[in-house]
Amino acid sequence: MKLFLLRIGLFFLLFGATYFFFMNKLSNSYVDENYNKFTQEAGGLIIGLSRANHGVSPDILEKKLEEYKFEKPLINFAIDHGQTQFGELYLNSIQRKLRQNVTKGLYILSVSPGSFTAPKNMDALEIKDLDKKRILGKINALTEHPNYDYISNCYPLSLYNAMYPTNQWDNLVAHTNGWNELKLKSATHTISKQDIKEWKQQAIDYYKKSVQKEVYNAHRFQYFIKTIIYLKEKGTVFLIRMPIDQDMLLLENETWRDFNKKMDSVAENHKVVYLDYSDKIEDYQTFDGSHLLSESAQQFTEKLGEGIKTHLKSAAD
Amino acid sequence: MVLGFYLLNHRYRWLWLLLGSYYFYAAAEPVLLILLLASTLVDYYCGLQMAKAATQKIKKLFLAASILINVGILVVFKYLFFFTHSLLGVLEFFGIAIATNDVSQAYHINQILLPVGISFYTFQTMSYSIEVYRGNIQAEKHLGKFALYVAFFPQLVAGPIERASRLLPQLKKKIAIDTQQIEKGLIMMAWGFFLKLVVADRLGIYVDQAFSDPTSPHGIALFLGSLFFSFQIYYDFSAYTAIAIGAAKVLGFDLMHNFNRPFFSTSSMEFWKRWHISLMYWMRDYLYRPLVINLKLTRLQAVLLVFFVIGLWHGANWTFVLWSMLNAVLLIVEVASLKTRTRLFKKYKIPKKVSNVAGAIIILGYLMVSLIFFRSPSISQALVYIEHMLTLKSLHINILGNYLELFLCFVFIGLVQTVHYYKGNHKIYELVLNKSVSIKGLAYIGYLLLIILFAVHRQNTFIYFQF
Repeated sequence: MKLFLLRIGLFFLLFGATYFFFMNKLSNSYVDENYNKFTQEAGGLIIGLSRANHGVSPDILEKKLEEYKFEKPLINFAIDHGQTQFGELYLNSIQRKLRQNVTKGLYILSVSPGSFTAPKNMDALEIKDLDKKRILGKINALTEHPNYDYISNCYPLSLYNAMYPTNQWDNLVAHTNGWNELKLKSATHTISKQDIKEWKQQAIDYYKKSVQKEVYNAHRFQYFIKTIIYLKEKGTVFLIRMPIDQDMLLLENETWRDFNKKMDSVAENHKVVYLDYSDKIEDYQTFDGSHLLSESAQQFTEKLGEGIKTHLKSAAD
Repeated sequence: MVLGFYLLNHRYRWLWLLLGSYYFYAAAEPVLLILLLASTLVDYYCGLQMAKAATQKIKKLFLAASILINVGILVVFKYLFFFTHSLLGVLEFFGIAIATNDVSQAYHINQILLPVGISFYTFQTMSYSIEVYRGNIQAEKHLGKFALYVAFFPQLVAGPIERASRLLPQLKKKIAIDTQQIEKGLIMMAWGFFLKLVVADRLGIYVDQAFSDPTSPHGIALFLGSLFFSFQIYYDFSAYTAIAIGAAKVLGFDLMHNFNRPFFSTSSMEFWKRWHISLMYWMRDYLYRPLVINLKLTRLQAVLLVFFVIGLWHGANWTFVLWSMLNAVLLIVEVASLKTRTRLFKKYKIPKKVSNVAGAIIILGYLMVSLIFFRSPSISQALVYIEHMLTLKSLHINILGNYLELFLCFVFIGLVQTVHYYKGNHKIYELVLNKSVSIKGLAYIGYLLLIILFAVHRQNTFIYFQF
């Protein structure tokens, strides 16, 4: 019996050690596009959905606004696939992501109608349950490096990827500050015009299907307001609407006609600034109608920095 | 749990297991424990009253009470929203329109929680009452041991649906430590974890993608999606069963087997004898036979009714009913055409092996299509899936953008089917038990690497937990 127990004990020990070894090996290489968003404390945050995830570079903003001495690091905390819609869980994660003593942070809240939607007839409790199934609901550790909590609970693939990565796409660069830059050309692949055309059509089809199932949800909007109120205590808040292709913008404006008016009124009520770039697409290029490509994302972030500067200057005056 | 069980005196082990089982059940939603307790108390009381009953009439009364209360619990907690929704649909058809949401919200129907494993434990307790009524078993006098029979944690949430005549005597037996039994149990559990984490969840990634938007991929990709779902649901459910059987074995108990290589069945009749065995036996003994023997229904009527109930048992949605009824149709056609088929096979001298292989392919193909209804959120969505599956616009199958993962899906299906072919679903431990220490060591290290390197980190619960 003693020998039997010893063997079982040894097996579990070996199991734990091997598991940890491969987890550690993975954490030292490319994990996935979201991993870097959960490996450090933040002094400021870029908040929103996929448009902000691909479209706003924290590095460029930090440099552009150096003179204002916003707390660092600025982290892009926006995630694809509607993972970070406004809600109790996102606000809670934002609170835990920020360094405790932050008082002069910069917060960019990217908004679009999709930030406030939920499946039809969902109440607050159901939305909380829905959000719990998303990345932010699966992990506790938001600021650890290496983040084993993320790997064991959110990493969607198997650990053999630590030795033979299958999910790394050369055109996507996952920066350590959370920005997911999508390049038109990489050493191994060039995104063609045909690809962009197809992706755009897919995005439009997807959007049309989504609006049949997902509608504006007051609970999400309520938490958007709570998020603004919380972040205002920790620094300066800007609401922005990212540039998107005309076809997509038309669709969005059809589903929520007075969206900009609503944002203007929120900005006015809470004494924050709303910068609408949604119809400025002629200066930029997207890879699917909704998300900016690398060069455009950099140019847009520069432009955003200038816009923020202008407002900060006028506020100081 | 195991350590405490073996360290404790035999007389107190039932209490230890009962507390552990209740803790396990309450961990997810403590309030739902009340239902489990209610079902336990009702059947315990009805069982005792039936044993004491002076007349058959009184006996029947208590059996009816037990069945009504258990079915009532199921109706309220699992089917109320579904029945309301269906009834309003019928009313709307006749021109009486009442908004479903208004009714649901007014009566809080949509807020009723679905208790985990409710279909399993209510069926298990009902089988106890029926067996006591029939005089096949004695009523259990020990409330604690009866409660343990209802709540025994390895099989509480997803079966196998155990008979009291098998499990209750085991719960009373004095169990000595048997390292070989424990090793067998651990191997079964390990196999279950492999089936779930490495195979079923891996297949699930492709399946989720295919079913999330069936209008996007076409033809082969959707065909593969439904083929993978057939294997996913089988591996997922049999994984839980293997873990349950293994966990019980570690504690010295033997649970019944729920699967016997169903995908090697050569006929529909054979398939249903090999798939979810504990439920099918339940249906045979407590529904099919009484319908035919007592209510004098024809076999055809009884089969249709049984499969209707099987569909509803799986979930409160017409998709489950349609899935089940489609399988009933196949079964009926198969039985009805048996003579003609036998004559034709004889006439054209078709070898048995060929007809068997053809039968297995037909069964799998039919199951695959019928399971599209099981997996889809609505019948209309399932029809869209089938329509697009039959539209061959391209041969693109790599919808995950990862050929290695697709290849691994096939490799693991091949591996599991080979193991099942040679060892069945319940003798997996024969692969390593009684082998030399070095072979065992290599096998365990191989298993360890396989599960660490190839397990999918998806945190998916078992599909059958929802039933």
